[in-house]
Amino acid sequence: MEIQNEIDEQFEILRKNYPGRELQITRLQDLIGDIHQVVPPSIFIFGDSATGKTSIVRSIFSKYKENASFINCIDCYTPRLLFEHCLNKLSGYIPNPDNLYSNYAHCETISEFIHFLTEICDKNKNEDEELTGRYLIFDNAERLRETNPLLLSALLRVPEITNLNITIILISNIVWEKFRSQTGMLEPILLQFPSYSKSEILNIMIRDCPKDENKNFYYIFIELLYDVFNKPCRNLNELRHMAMLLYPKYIEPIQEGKATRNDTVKLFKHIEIYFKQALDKLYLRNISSSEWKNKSFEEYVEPTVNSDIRFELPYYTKFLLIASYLASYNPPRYDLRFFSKSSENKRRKSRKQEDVSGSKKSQQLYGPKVFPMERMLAIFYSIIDDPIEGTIDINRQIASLKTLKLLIKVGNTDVLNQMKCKCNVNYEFIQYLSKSVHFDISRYLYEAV
Amino acid sequence: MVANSTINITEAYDSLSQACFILWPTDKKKHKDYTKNDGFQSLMDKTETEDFINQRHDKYYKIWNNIKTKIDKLMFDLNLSATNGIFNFVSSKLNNTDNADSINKDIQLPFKEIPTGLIFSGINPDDKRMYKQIVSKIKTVPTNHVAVLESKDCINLKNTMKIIIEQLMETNLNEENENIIDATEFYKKSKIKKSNKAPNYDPYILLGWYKHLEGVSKINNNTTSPVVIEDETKEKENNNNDNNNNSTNQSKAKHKLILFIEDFECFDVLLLQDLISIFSGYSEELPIILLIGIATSLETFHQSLPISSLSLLQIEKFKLLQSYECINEIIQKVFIETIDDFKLGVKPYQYLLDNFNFLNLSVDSFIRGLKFSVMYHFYSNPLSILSSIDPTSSEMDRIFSSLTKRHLDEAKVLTFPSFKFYINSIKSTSPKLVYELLTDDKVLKDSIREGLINLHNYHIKFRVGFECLLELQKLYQSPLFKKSKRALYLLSLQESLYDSAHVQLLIKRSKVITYPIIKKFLETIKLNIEKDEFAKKLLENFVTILNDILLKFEKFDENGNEIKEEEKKERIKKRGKQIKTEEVETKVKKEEIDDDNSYNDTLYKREKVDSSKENKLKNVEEEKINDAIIINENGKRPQKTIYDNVLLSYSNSNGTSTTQRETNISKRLRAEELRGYETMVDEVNQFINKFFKDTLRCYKEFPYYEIIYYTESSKLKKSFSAQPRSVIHTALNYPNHYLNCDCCSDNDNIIESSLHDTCIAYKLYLECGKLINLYDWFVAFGNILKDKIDKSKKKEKEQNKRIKQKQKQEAEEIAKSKEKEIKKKDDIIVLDSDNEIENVILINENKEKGKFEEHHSSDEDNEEKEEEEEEFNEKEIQARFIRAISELQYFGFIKSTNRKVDHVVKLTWGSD
Repeated sequence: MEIQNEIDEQFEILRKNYPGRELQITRLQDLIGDIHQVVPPSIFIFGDSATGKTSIVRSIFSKYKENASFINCIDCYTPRLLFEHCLNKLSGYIPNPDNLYSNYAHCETISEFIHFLTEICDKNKNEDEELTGRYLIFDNAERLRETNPLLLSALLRVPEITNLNITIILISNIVWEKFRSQTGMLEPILLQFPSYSKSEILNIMIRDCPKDENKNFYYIFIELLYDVFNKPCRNLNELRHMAMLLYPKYIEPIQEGKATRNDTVKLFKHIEIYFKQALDKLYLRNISSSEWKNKSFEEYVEPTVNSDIRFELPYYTKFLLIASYLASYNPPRYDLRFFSKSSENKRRKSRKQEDVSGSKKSQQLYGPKVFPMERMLAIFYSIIDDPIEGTIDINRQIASLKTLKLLIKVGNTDVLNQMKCKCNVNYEFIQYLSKSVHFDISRYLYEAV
Repeated sequence: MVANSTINITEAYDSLSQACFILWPTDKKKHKDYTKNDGFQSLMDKTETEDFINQRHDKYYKIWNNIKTKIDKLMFDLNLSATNGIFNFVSSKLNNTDNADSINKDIQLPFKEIPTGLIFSGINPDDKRMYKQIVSKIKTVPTNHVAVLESKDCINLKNTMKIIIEQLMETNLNEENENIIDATEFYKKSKIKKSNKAPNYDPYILLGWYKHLEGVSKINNNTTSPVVIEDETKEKENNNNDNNNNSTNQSKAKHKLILFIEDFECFDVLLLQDLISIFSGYSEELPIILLIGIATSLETFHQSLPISSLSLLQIEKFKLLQSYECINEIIQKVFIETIDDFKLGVKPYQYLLDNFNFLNLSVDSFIRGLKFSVMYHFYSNPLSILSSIDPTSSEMDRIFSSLTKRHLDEAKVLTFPSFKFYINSIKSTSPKLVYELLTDDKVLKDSIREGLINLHNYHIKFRVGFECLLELQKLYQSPLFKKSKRALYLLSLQESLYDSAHVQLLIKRSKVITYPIIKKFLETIKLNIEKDEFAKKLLENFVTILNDILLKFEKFDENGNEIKEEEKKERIKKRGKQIKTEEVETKVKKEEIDDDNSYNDTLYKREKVDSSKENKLKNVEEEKINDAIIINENGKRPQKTIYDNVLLSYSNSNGTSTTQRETNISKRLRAEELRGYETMVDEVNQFINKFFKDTLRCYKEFPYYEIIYYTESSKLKKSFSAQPRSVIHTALNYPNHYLNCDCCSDNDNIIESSLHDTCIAYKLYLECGKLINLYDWFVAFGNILKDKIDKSKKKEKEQNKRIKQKQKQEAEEIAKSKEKEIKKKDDIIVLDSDNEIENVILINENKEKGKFEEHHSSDEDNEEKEEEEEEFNEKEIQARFIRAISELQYFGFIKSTNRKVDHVVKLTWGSD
């Protein structure tokens, strides 16, 4: 009974803590709120990321003690791990040095799992006579489809097979229809967690308001933040992250005494530049909170544009990469025109390039094309000024470009066959590279970008 | 090794797929001979004695170890700051996770960010070394548990997890095993529960282990089980260490798990995603810190990971030292700062540097090349025993006295370029010395010794000069005037650094540098010289000049009170310099005559230094008047170049003359000042010129430099820049290079039949297009071979004919001789029976004729056989062709294809 009380309390707390999710929480309580009630065989909870699925379910079942096992399917990448973790959780068994890191049981198949599951349930039943529900929760349930196609259908039928008071709860970002490909599926109860509306988001974010801060003032800030970011990003977590990063900057003028809390316009102007920066780097987690704090204002105003892409390569390697870029983005039939050294060809080239620039169905948009290694090497030897010998070093550099994923090998793995590659860098980077070696790439590109 | 190979040689041949076998000589004595002194052999036509070989060998090791320790230390020091940065990150993150919660309670995200350090190492093949350093540094704190992940081990998640668990728990697992042996309880348990043992890739193991670890460190009083005691003592040690290390977080030293992903680019992205989400899921229980080594850029990192993974990371960035800086420091440390050590000549240095710049940016490969050069220098040069020691030391005496005549002869040959140059240069002045050098060994010995000492001194001077040059470079802001140490050193090897355009430019520009800076520069030169005792001795004259200049400077500094006036004083100081020279003194005289105020000076006229000082003092006063005017007119311009100031004052003086504010005296003084200024700048410039000219010379100017410098680059090229394609090409195209036969020429146009079969097939292959028709190839091949066979047949025939002719001749001769004999006999037995004998001869002749006829008929038989042989040849050609092309296939030139029947695909593009 103690547990039951705690659970009821927990539901109350959750309702308070998750504004906008009252409906779902109530529904969940109806379904599984009473631990001594007969539970539905399976529930499928779905909805976008950052809609509170996992955290709500997790906090509900944190009070269920050993009657529930909350499993993240990414952790359990093999069925064995999945089963054994489930059994461990239900039996309260923890691997530690004293038991030589053993699990509750060695369990590799679903039939073994069912055997041990009934064993655990029977054992516990003896202790208290009441009917108790067991809950197997699988977060990121879409992963279950990957390991074994029949695993999911088998799991869904566990309550039926064991004849126990067990419910299977699946949590996923994906709708149920996508799970239905296999036979023998039991239809679960569907429960959707819809995306938050603006007011709901603001309601949630206002909860992050620092204790010593006026709520209205903070509300103005987050509303501004929401308006700015709402188009590219509705992910609640990301918005909260941004709020956390940007709020200290927002109140900076106040702390410095340059503005008061009522100077909204002034504060807006001040924060604008930071917003712009943050918008650029949205989702990238480019700047950690600590770095953000340390950066000076000037660095925001004039950010070093290419600092993200810059790194050093050896001189010839740069040319190798440029050559592979050319090989990837130039059609092979124009090679003679671009890379032959006679003057006659050059004249023709300049005339024809105008025609080309007229039809701007960009080659760039098609992405890199596959090229054979020999062609790239031929271009390489033609664009490089000094005569160099084809030593092993060049081959080694090609290999190292491959390991850096700047070149991507395409096609069959036949060692003897000519290697075919794609160039995996963008124009911006190749431009930076060719600038650093004083090479005019636009002269050799089929399409000047 | 030897033992293994001798046990079963046949085993060595078992793996026939491997193309290369090493069979150690079975005879142990022989083996010893080979590897004695690592294969250092007797040089100078084997006249070198064992003692010298040993010397060279020992020296090589000594020098190389010396260089290696230097480089290792250097690399360690260079990376120290980055290492410490990462270390601090790791240790701060431990506490931050606790503190952050308490401080930033304003926002709690539903997930926890994993603190992540991105380490940008650049595409640097040597990053392993640095990573090791970082890891070992992190491990100095015993509560840090590090797992290093390499992409080659982490094929899938299972594998990766297993490696992580093994690496993190490594030490503890060993402990456990001991415990199992100790305590039978555990043993029993293990037997019972064996089947339940969690799979070795189960993250729960980690969880349990970590909980246990934490539990142990918390419960200090519990002493029931031996495990706890052990761990406890360890824990105490940990705490002690922590106390020593950082006093701030002693008691709450939390165990941290650090995952070090070495080569991010090579990792499977999906695997990393999973790994990140798994560990973020456990981040409540396990304090995980990720360190990720990235060779390329942040952009790749962003591109590879999806938002869901990125949002789980709390990123901080670290940059490791780029290899450019490393190589600069290494060059300075190894080549410039050491005096009596191994040096690289221009060719090998350039080769190594080019390789570095153009091809790999790898410090390690530079070091490898350096090692090879050191080794080869001592391996091939019998005079190398003279290098790498202080030529003034007593050890050198010993070596010199032990030198044989043969060594000295060798010296003339080995050091030929510099020796010849030297001889030519002194030929006209002291022909006697030349004669003696060429004939008298003792003179040569002394001369070599002297040459070495000269080189020694040159290195000392060069070190100082180079440092000063770097200082001079620092004075300029523009990157145009900056060259890296490695490039400067290359210049210095190519020609005299002083003559290089770059240095000339620097020196010229030094005229335009602001005054206080140039003064500071001169001071640093002095400091640099005086740092080194030897250098101080060698560069004494420069020091005295410098001292003079600086002394005067200082005097005037003391006088100055106002900032603006200081500038003027500087100018006066310049004058002071100029006054020092006698030429200037005459000027002073003039001045004295002209100036009414300077009567006193005449008294001190003869005492150079004093008088000049006095003059300066006087001038100061006079200048002060001028200064007042200039300052008024110039307004406030405290920091200008000397040049500008003087020009300004000059133009001002023109201006002032119109405004009639100047007296005659001040006018004269101004002109004086300008002249003084010019000479002053000239003097400084002269000094800089002279100084650099003396210090920054090229090693090639010194005779016998070949003893110390390793100048050959061809061996390096051969050893480190293999050219697989062209090697194969020459081998197949010009086999005579390898076979040392005379039968074929180097002619590319003709495919000679005398070539090896594979070569013929290869030459035909070169003429073909992308797809090769096997039959055509075979026919062409056959035609060439037929020529050969025909030729050989012709030869055979000819030989046969010759043999036959010979036989004929012999037979005829025999017949003739017989005839003669018979005739002789006839003569004797003429009287007996002429007729009978004649009959006999006839019969013999007939017999002979019959034989000839027989021969002819056998020739005809041969022709019939030949037709048969032709068929046989066809088969032979086929067999040889198949062998040749299968060999080509084995080399990777062709491949069978399904695109066309009877065709093969050409896999290379032919000739290089």
